[in-house]
Amino acid sequence: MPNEQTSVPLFVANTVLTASQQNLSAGTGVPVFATTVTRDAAFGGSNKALAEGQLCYLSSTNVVQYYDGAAWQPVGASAGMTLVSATTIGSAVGSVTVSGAFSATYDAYKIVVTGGAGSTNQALTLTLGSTSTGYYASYFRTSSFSSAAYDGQILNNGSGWTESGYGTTSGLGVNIELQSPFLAKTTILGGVYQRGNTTAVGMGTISGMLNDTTSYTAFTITPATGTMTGGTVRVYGYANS
Amino acid sequence: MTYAEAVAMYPHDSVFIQVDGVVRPMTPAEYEAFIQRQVDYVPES
Repeated sequence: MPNEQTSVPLFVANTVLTASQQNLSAGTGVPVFATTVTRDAAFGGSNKALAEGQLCYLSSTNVVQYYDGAAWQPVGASAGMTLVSATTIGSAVGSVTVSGAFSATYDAYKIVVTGGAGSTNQALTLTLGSTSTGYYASYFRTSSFSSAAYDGQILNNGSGWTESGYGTTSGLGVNIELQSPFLAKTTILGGVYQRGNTTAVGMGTISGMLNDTTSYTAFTITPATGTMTGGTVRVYGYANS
Repeated sequence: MTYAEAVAMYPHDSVFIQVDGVVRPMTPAEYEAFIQRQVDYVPES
């Protein structure tokens, strides 16, 4: 990119201000760097000392930043929620694992699955890492389609959070919140689901926990029966500050 | 669904495992677990 620079010259008395230096300064206004690496290398030493109030533009991420005296910060409002990953589900998969979903960057996450379809109407089970025990949950479901007004259900030391979502032949649906999956703390789960099967109870909520303090980076979604095709698994992180 | 019915409905070369963007065939152990899941499945009322 023509505007990118690798230094921020410091001019001192009795030195020549060259045309190229002047053109660079006039051409950019706000110094433009390719990456944070070239940005950081451009200040200090024989260059201008980095100080509070300095602006820059990063062409690799298309963002404007300011230096607050301790760190570079984005200009403008910070996003409260950030898309961590988006995974397109393949054809006829018996499970889909998203690795690298959780990290130290965020304490709380939202997992959303949309689109696609199941090979049959089915509940979707969520598991963390390779853990297959210690999952607890309570469910409360009301009906829009049948005579059953509601039912409650518990999951007691299950092998996964069953009914964390539903898949039907017309779509997949997961809407789950996780607290502390990466932290060495008990992971807490909450969510809602719509059951597409009109012969049984329809809408419900799930709240649960995983009874360990393991730090997880990955999760897996598995249909109770059949397979999934298409759709997208999106993971969002809630900003810690 | 019986074991034989599950195998007939989901031949090994027709079902897959996905990790991130990679879809691959199931290992024998994964396929066995998948088939057993079909056998054990009880439709909800």
